[in-house]
Amino acid sequence: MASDAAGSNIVLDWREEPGAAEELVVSGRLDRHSAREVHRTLVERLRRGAAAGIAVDLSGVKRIDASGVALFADVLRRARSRGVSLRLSSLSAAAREAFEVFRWDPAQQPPERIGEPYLVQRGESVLGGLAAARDLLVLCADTFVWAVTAPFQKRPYRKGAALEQSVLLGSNAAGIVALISFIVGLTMALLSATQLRTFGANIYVADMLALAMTRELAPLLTAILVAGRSGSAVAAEVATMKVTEEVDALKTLGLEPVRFLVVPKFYAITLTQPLLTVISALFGIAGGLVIGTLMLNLSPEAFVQQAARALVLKDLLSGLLKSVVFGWIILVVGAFNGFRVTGGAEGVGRVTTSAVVQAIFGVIVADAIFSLIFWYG
Amino acid sequence: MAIPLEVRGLVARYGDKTVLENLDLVVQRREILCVLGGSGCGKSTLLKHAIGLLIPAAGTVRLLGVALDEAGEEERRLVLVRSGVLFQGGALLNSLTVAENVGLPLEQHTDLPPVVARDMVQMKLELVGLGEAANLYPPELSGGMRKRAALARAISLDPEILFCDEPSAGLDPLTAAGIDRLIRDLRDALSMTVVVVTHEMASVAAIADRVVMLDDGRILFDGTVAEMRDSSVEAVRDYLARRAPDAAAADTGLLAALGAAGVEEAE
Repeated sequence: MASDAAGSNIVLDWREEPGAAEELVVSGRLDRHSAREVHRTLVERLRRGAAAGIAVDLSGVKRIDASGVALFADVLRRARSRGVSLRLSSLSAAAREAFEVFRWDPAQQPPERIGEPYLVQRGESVLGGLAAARDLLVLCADTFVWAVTAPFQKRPYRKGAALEQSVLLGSNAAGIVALISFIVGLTMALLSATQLRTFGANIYVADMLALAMTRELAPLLTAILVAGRSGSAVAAEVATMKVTEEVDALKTLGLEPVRFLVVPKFYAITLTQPLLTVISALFGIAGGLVIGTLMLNLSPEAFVQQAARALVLKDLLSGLLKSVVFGWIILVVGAFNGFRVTGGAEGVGRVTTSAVVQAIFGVIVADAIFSLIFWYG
Repeated sequence: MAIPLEVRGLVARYGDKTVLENLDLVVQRREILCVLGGSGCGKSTLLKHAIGLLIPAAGTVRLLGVALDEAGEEERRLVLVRSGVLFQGGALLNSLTVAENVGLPLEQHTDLPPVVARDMVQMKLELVGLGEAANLYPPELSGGMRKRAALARAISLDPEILFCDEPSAGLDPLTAAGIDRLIRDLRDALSMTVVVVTHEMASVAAIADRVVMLDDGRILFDGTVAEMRDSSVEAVRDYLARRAPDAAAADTGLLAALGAAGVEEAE
């Protein structure tokens, strides 16, 4: 019984007669354990030159497998290139059968993959980028149009879907958003306190935190967390449905995939993103409150009053407005990447990663634009 | 020479549900055994136990003479190298080309010179009719091509025993017949033992030396295709004749409930 632990089990014997082809007599098992040895022996003999040709006698081969046949392909190519004749002088029944099953002409080579020229590749990637930009715009338009018109349609799609999505995209993220914001609040308060204390201006920790959290940090932190948590989930869900032909199935059922899959999530994220941002701001300020009380000798009442005084309505509203836009970016980028998937399960992983990266990038760019607008406005 | 596959008293459970009940099965060398049965009868479960992917709740499986549950890690690996598996969906690695998929076991488990390994891969691909597709990636192949590429990978180490899960499901009759013939040829040339799980009667008739029919986790029938036709078990003959069990009788259902008796044809 052949086992991978066992060594080769083969006998090789050269028979030479003057004037005639040199003959290699192979007996035993010509399988993947011994093929290397037979191959080496024949190649060496070819290298030394065998003007009269080489014959191989396989009549003593009891068992032979594909590697035993395949090695002759390479030996034959080498023999031909040296102009040496190579033939099988005798075959056992087993060997004949194997050679009959594994028919193959060694001159045949599989077609190579030929890459496109560099300029064509560049050009195609530019065109691909333009096409993707168009698809993204179309998806945005579809989503907004369906989101606005859906409530007025006679037959709304799956009624509970938006609520269900709110739980998935929003409520389930509340815990982690609160925790992270609290920790960031703590850190910010500690960092600024070291500076402010030298001026005896401890109380301004409250102002700074209230402003930073509501205007900037809460929307941004929430968006980054939601992009990682829910943006990836949206991309993976849509991509999986695309790969398993569920998206095509929806089309054949007369259901618009964007309306069916994306619009409920659009409602959900429009509702939950501002709520999460409020939670984030509250917990961030609470983090500062803890540091202020425990380490900066501020009374909780004074801290809260100071924070409330620092805030104006515009800061609150701009934070909420930003959060909604960030939510839309995360959703549309996630869905866009999901619909763009190619290949199988592997493609799903790829688009999920790019959905998260692009969503975070988009959110940060949008945040910069908002900062400019609010600076002038 | 050890018996290629010997299953004794195999019990398989998923949670509370018993899928295989005290199953005995011995496959002889050079035998092509077809395992038949309706969906959910435990065919694939049996296959997964045979190759050690699932661990039996009770009983033993001896593959090529090695008891899988007693064998150590290394011994199991060696015995799996000596067997080939064609998975239902192909299970090709999508990040590698077809040739790399087929060559992977050669690269890992043999010390063949690279040129010989490459020739061997190409030979196996020609064998399944995919010589031209060697440098394509699996997602670029059609379903039938993917299945054939997976077969080429399953036989890349010339296994002593080959397991096939639905080798011809979803293939056109010509390709399916080609795969059937290939399985027979390989058995003849390499003295391979083959276990095929299928429900394609046409391919069973073409390749099977012996048929085992499973029903509800038990062996309902064990014999040749010819013996199947004369079986005393009605379910076996029904399966062969593709006779569906009688549909619900006409006196049940909505029509009966609404009083079909009173309805008369309008003139």
